[in-house]
Amino acid sequence: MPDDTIMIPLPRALYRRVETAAGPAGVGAYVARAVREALARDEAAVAPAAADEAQIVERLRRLGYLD
Amino acid sequence: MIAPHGGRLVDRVLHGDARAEAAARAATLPVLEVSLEVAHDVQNLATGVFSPLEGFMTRDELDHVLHRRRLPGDLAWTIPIVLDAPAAALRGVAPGGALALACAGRRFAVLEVTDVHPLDRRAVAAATFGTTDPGHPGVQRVAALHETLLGGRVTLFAPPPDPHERYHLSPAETRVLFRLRGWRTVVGFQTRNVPHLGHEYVQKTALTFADGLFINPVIGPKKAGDFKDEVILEAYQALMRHYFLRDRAVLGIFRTEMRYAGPREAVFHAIVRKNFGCTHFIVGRDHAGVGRFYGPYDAHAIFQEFPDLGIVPLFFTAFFYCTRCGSVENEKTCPHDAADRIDFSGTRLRRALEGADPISARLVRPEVAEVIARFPDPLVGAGSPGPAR
Repeated sequence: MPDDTIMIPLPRALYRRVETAAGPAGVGAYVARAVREALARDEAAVAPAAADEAQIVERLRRLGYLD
Repeated sequence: MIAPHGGRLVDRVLHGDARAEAAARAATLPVLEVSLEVAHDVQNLATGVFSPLEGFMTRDELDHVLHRRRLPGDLAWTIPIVLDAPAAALRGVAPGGALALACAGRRFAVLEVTDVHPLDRRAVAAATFGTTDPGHPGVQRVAALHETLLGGRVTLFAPPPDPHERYHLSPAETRVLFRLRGWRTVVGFQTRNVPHLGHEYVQKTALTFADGLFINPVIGPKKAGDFKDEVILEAYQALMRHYFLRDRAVLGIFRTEMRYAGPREAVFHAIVRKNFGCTHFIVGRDHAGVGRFYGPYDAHAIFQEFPDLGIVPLFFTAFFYCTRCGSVENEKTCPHDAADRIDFSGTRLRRALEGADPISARLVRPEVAEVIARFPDPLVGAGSPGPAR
């Protein structure tokens, strides 16, 4: 197993549902894709638009929070 | 970065043309004059501090929060966020209508009214504070509310004035700040006091296991005997300048009033810091408590009801300075007698300020003591109105 691999326990019932959807050999890839997609949704939900972020950074610099 | 409570950061602040249009519309609407404290809670709603709330609670939302400690839909929420209105302001107001909200005569937001419902003061006080004792400051505050509540979403077009604007960051801003600093784990610290060595001990202990610390004092109306806002901010500036690494700690304010709701407010405080981007939240002894209304660790126990809260509470028990150890300790780390301990009580600090006792360097950093000493009147007075709507 590669050094950067992490073991994640899944409840047995959930594992069976994933195995049905992805096949026995596809469980790992299925879970990894689901986690990536969930993270992307989370980050999109909170990330400000680029123009907004530029204004935020400018204010943080003006107030001394950023160099 | 931790997701906001409910998964989406509310943003109901208008800019540019949309702001101008809203201001023009507000000029045509009936006006409800509100206090500065309510105006700041409107700002909290609009900027996502209170995500997922987008406005003041409807009757259904309030009932869920009071009786189930959750919103409809089952998301954890423990403190009522309500808007009261006098009868004179309600003429012609009905669900489907809108009101302009004004503070000191200046329109700043629009409320889309979806619900007009009566306030049951006793039920709100009993559920929120666990008491209807008129000696509780939160009960007093509820008793002073008007009889009718308005529910509905708010839209902010002119943020209320803030003398502490320099430290007033929105959740969108703190999240960008934490990300640019490379903080994946952030500990939030709630306070309504000047810092003593016990606070510093807790903050640094928690910071040991995280990337960054967000010191987030509540700035707003407090009860008599609490420290004034400007004293708290200057004291923290002094502490952080001399005793914290600049790239490991951030000071930003939470503009609201203390509810003194003990356990329920501890959960509310954790949710708010989750919205600011914190992954962990420090919960101390008698968090958000007042007098003897709550047990010393009731605010720890309540978190067992919310395994789905999404922010990790860090529970701290009582700590003290041990003269034998020569450091701040707690009951698990110090083997010495009570006679060797100096307690970090607000009473002890207030006595020192009143000149009854010296301010010990074992209680408060000298730079912080120096700041406090510069204020002739550092405490909220007995005659002050305190938390009021």
